[in-house]
Amino acid sequence: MIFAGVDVGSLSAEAVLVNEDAGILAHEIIVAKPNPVVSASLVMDSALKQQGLSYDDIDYCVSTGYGRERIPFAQHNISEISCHGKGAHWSVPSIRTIIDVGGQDCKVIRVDAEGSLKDFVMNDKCAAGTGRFLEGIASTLGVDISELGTLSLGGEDPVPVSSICTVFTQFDVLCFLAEGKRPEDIGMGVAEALATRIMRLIRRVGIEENLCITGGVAKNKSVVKSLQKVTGHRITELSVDSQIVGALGAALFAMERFNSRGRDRTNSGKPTEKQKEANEWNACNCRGR
Amino acid sequence: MIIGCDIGTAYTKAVLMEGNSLEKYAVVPTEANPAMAMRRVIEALGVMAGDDSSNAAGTRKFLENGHRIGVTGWGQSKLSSDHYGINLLNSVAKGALWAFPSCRSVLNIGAQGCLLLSLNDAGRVLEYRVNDKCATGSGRFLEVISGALEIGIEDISDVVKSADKQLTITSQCAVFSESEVVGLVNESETVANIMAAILGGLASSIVSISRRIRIKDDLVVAGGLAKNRSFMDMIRDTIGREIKVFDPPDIIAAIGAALATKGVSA
Repeated sequence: MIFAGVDVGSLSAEAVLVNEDAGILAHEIIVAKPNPVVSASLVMDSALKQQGLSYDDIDYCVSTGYGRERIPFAQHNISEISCHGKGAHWSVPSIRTIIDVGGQDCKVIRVDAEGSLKDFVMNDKCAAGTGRFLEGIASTLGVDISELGTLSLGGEDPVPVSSICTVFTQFDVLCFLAEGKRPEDIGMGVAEALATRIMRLIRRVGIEENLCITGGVAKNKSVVKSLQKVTGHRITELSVDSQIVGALGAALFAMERFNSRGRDRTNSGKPTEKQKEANEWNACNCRGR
Repeated sequence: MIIGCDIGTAYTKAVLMEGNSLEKYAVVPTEANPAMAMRRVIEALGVMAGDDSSNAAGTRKFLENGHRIGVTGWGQSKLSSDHYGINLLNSVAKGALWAFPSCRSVLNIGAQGCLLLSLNDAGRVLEYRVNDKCATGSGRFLEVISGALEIGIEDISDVVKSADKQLTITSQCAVFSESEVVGLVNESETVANIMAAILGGLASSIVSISRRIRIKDDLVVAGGLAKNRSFMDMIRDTIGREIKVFDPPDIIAAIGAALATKGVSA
């Protein structure tokens, strides 16, 4: 039995294949294309190839993320909020709070002991507090986004960043450089500013231990360190790549749905209107935005 | 003689005033270095002879001759030279009153924020609102978008004249709007229509701060964006009253800084 999950984000797309015995069989991350259907297909092609599999071998596939309703090879779609909760909880069952910092949004997700969604808050209106903030700063500092975390860890005396807005912070960084401040200290100040911004979101749902961080920004060690500082909680490291948690959750949902519905694929195909309604109700029932 | 200097985040403006009359003005990009920008703008005014213009000793000589320099704007607090610091609110109010004695409200649109203030008949500031936390509603927003659309800020006014379709930009954030604009280009929407939608959105974000303040006629709009005629028409329509614009509109605060310095004894 092979179950697949695919998660298309604003900046990257991920695919995960799982089965009941082995857990994760394969996973893949690619840079997102403008069209979510193309991104989903490319990343799934690549994940399947790793195991020498084809689309026919997938018993059930769930899609999540941007354009999740339109992915042709997925039988069902589930919101990325539920998927992140599911994936993180499967990775470390003691996880109750998930901070997902994506390329264009940030979510704080609370799950119960079973990994089911309890509550969440989300910011997708402002680039401050998202991966785009870090991208903007990295480009102003002239470093690659993947190097920003390591650079900032070398900071000794963080430069206080007073602006919230990404565009204004970029300008502040320019001034700091002109004043001769060290890029390491600027990076550290920026990581703390991002953590402080995310903390405002966290306060709205509260923290229950254990706490983890998912999404691409989790790879920035300086941000993780700053988040530990502002939250006052240790951040648990997941057993899987922080970026594939959404796709992993989708694959786990695929496995669950398949097992609860039997093997008749024609029955388990497209979600009915009633299921769509139920999904929406579940999403609305949480304290969003 | 008095020099009024307004060090903004994007441009540094300076005026040379003899009493109440404007003699000369100059504008240079700030380039994230307020001290250097002030030196360059004073040099551009050409009030100091030869080599003196580009060094601190030259400025000191200018001051020793009984002349004064008043400085306002973002960069003012970052300087450590001999000058009078004047807060932006006062500079904008004084400058706008100088340009239009009938002025009772001023909307100053800067690169990193906007300011709306109202005056009483004696020219005192009654109330004001500032929005400087978010690039939405600031000149920088337009800079980011025109960069993405690859058109010059000064060309925007003409470009939007050929707009023939109403588009809506759903993002508020400058960074997200930039992505949205690129998406619209990929969907073959015209630059004119996209830019018109952006200007409309910017006008309503700017005007939204006016809901919390009583605007009285005449309303003066100051700041570099006021050079954009199409945008001023949108501001007028959104705010629902006639506006007055001094030419050039970006030196209002510098004029105010010079006038505020005039009253200070040396």
